[in-house]
Amino acid sequence: MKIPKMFFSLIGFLMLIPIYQGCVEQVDAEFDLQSDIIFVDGYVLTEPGTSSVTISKSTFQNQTTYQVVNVLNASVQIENINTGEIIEFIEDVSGIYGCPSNFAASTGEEWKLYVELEDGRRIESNSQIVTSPVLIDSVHAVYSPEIEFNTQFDRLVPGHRLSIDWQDPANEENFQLWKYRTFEPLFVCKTCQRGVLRNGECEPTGLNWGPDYYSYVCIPDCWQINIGKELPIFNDRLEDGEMITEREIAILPMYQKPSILVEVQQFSLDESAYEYFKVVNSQVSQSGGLNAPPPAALLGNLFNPNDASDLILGNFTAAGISTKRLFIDRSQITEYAITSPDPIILENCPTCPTSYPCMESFTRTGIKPNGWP
Amino acid sequence: MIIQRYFFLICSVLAAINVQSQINELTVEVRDNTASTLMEFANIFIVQCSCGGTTERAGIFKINLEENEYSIITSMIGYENDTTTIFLNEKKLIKVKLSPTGYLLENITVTGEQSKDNINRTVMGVQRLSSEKMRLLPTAAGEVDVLSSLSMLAGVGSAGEASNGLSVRGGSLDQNLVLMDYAPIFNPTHLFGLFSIFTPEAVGSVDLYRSNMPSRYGGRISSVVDVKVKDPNAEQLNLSGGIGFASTRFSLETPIIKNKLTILASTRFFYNDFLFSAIDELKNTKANFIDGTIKLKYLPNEKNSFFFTGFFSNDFYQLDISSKINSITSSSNQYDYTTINGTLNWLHTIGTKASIRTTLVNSDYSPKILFPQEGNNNVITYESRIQYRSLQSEFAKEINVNWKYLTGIQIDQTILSPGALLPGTAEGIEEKKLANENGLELSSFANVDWVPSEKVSLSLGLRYTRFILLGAYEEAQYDGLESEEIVSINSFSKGEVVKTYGGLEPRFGARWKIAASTSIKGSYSLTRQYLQNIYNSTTPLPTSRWKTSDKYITPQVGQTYSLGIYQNLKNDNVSISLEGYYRSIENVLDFKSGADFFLEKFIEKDVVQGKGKTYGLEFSFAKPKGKINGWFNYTWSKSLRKFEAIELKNRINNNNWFNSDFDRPHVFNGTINIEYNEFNTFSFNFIYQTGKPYTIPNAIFAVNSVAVPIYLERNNSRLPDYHRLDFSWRIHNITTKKQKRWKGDWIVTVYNLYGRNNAYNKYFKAKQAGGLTNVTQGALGAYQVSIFNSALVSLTYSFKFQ
Repeated sequence: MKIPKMFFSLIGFLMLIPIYQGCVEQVDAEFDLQSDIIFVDGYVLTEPGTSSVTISKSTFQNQTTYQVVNVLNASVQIENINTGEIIEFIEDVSGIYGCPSNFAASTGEEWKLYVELEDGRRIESNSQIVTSPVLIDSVHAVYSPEIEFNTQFDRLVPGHRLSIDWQDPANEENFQLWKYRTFEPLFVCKTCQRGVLRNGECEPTGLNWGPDYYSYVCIPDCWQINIGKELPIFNDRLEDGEMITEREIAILPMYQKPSILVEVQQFSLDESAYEYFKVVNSQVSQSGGLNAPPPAALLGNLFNPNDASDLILGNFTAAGISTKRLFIDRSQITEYAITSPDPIILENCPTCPTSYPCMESFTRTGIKPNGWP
Repeated sequence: MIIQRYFFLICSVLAAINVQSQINELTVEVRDNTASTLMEFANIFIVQCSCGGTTERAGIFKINLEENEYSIITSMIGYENDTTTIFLNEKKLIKVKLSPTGYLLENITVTGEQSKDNINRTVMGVQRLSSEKMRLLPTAAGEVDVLSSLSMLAGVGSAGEASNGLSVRGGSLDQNLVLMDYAPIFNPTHLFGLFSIFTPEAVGSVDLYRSNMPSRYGGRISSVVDVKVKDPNAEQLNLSGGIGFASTRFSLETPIIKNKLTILASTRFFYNDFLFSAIDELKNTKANFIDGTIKLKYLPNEKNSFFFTGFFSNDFYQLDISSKINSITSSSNQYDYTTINGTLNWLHTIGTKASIRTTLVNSDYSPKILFPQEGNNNVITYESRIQYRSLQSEFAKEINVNWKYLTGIQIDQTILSPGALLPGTAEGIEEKKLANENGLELSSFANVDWVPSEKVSLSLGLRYTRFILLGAYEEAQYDGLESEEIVSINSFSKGEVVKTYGGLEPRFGARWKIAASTSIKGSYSLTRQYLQNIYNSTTPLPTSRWKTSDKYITPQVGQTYSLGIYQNLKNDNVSISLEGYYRSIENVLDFKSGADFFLEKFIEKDVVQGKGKTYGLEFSFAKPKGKINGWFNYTWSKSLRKFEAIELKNRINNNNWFNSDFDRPHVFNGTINIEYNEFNTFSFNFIYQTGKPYTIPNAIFAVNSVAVPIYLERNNSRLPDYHRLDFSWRIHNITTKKQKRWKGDWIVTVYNLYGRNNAYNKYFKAKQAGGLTNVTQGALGAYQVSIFNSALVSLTYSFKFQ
């Protein structure tokens, strides 16, 4: 089998160029889930009424479906180590233990968490000193029509780069954690798929014709609250005492066209809390890619005083906080949003409902947020 | 030293009583008949003794034989065989000239070894790959690739396509000593592991020692990959090169002063990243690399040879992704790795049976991560550096055909710059530099090869090493055993001894030939490793941190026991072997959960040391000759680790044994070459290995109403099994007539022929962007990362002009 010389003359030096074919794809998840693991997410903070403790536990519903439930009926209190003052936390309707509305920790105070579960199991934290809040100077949002490559939509998408300025205190180690959430107007408060709204609930129509859904607009006004899924952190080991400007906190892709309000909370942490949130951050934000950090457990400063081998996950964090909001006006942006909303389809009869109230929750509010024009 | 004296005394006595008569030296010199160049790696087979080997430097092969008549068969890929018969009654030199041919390829010896080497050799677990052999193996880029070729050998694996090195017998990547003409290579790959760093046209041979390391090697516990650059032997101008998807290559070999000074200069470069501009996702991505090797050989007289090898490699990548390392944010990040190595090698011969080799090595590796600033030209740089210098001198003597020994000394200095952040003109970022670590390693070694009888041969080695960590240095003192709280810092001034470690490293190998074509071998070796690579990512990056031993990070100590049986069948046309091994490792390193090594001054806070063990059985089958030739290996093995910690948060897998990242219980790899006719050779590679361990969540909880996976155990599951079939079609010298000086080969390669979507890693991430109200297992999505999920086709043209 002799290859004709012409074949090679034709292709000459033209090389067959392969295109990079690597990819990330969603696959079936594999777990080795365990029940009865306790996770505590507790905060003592410098703004009134914001301190809270969430105790959750892994369970299996019907022995098959993994579910996390809030642990109820626990005794939760914090103690000021310096003064002996005890603050009782009260369980609310959602199973979160909150402090009295007028309680706020002060800088320099040393607090310790005590929990006793209904079955007598005890959890304590190491004592934590409340750090001084470092104030946010300003929040910026800079628009770019190509803010990032979105793998879900397989293209560059428009959005805002969210950043903040602050003055870092000199001659001390400072550690920050940021949480952010956005408020955006919500026009449709209820959608009934193949059904209609009757007595506040969707009822199936049983019809195979007509619209796939009916929309029920929000009356009065309503705002959707989106909680940022990243937990960015910072330490000032390289920038001690500097005026830090335009530090990026998040990318806000423009999924919808209406303007939004963004709220940034800056938590001033101590080093141990920073190390804990660094692990959280690595699991939440940096887990993809070829050289992802390997998985880790979320072991913070909690323990069972009666059983050193009892694994208690989570952390009790004492922090000074500073909050700032920014309204982002999108009315002048000419690019299209990443997604377009489904058209509003109202029931076409005079007596049928066309609206639905804005039910207050931590993802939705009918109260006009501060900073909304 | 007393032990060494006794050792040599015993050896000398044994040598004296074993001297035999009627032994004559036979020297075979092999040249290319057309170009008159001396040919290294030509195969020599002597029929009467079923012995032989390959020509080494200057195309010379030497052997001592009893007085007799011998038929010497000389062969080389692409050349006609030569058979010469002599009567050896005195010291003789025979000169063989091989004629190139495009027609007689049926005698390719793909192992690069002679047919009974595997039976007769004393040292276990050593394998040589010649450049000719590597050329036949299909690779992703269609060119000679040292690490890809090694991964086709028994007991050698990689972490996947983008692994920055090799795992040998379940060891981690930094446990391999990779040498290129005596100079260590700290980052052996380009493009995050897709290509080996070695300039393809310059590679002469590769020796892999994975069991019983000769005593001249030290400093790593798993294996030695000893890459030798071709000796420049040309008597006239030789050019070679190639062009393909992966790179463009060019090599020149020419005499500068006839019979005195010759040079080999070879380079390869990859600047194909303009192709990325066509892909939206990659339009600001850059990926370039270049490497170059130069070797000079100077022969001032018959007794002295001088060699200089220079090696340069640089990689530059830009990833258009927003990156955050510590407090530095950049809209893109760039990686820049440079290796500059130099080796000066002086070989002085004393008579015909003794020589002194002295080598002076300088190795410099400097990886950088660059963060270009937006709106100005400033670049923030994070850099580290390893400067290695070594002086080694060894004396080798062959007392007679049954006795030879080697002894030497080695002084190594390693200066590590663990990390420095250079902000340039960036405002508000402080310059930070971690202090250098200065390690000195003094070694002496000796090795004796003794053949007490026809059936038995022994290789006895001993190495003594002393590692000294020198100041200036700052050593933290902690409040308790596992405490991370520093109570004080001990400062050491420049040159002051901070910490020393050391000890004897015995190496032992024995062969018992139980029949003409069957032997049993056993070996033991102990090695110490004072320099380690620490990483906390899926695979070590070129920028991963290196660390010398100190008070807290003690040297790794590996002890390897091996036993094997080897048999040749069908007139040495088929060889089979079964090798078992067990290695125990003390002080193996791993990272603590959530460890961060970036500019960390006291890295001991982030790592743990424990025990490791690897064991396995390797079965090999090889048919090195004939129109259809090849080999396959099957390995069953385990690689485990165990760490003891008191505090709950420092425990890994609750102090129990667990699978290491390199645990692959079942590995099968095979190669088959089909020499269809004088022009066409087809080759296939097949690799199968159990999926690598990875970690799956033990719980899911919400933090800030985002689902976070919780991992309580490491490596508690496995990725799907890895398998891949590669194909190459080599068309030899299609356009040229016999005896022409220009020869060209086309190589079509299909990597991953059936498009297997092999998983590189899997990770878990919240499906929802926050506001999670009900945490179930559906809250997390699993994502699989793969490097290639389809066949990769490439076409390469290689030429040779001589």
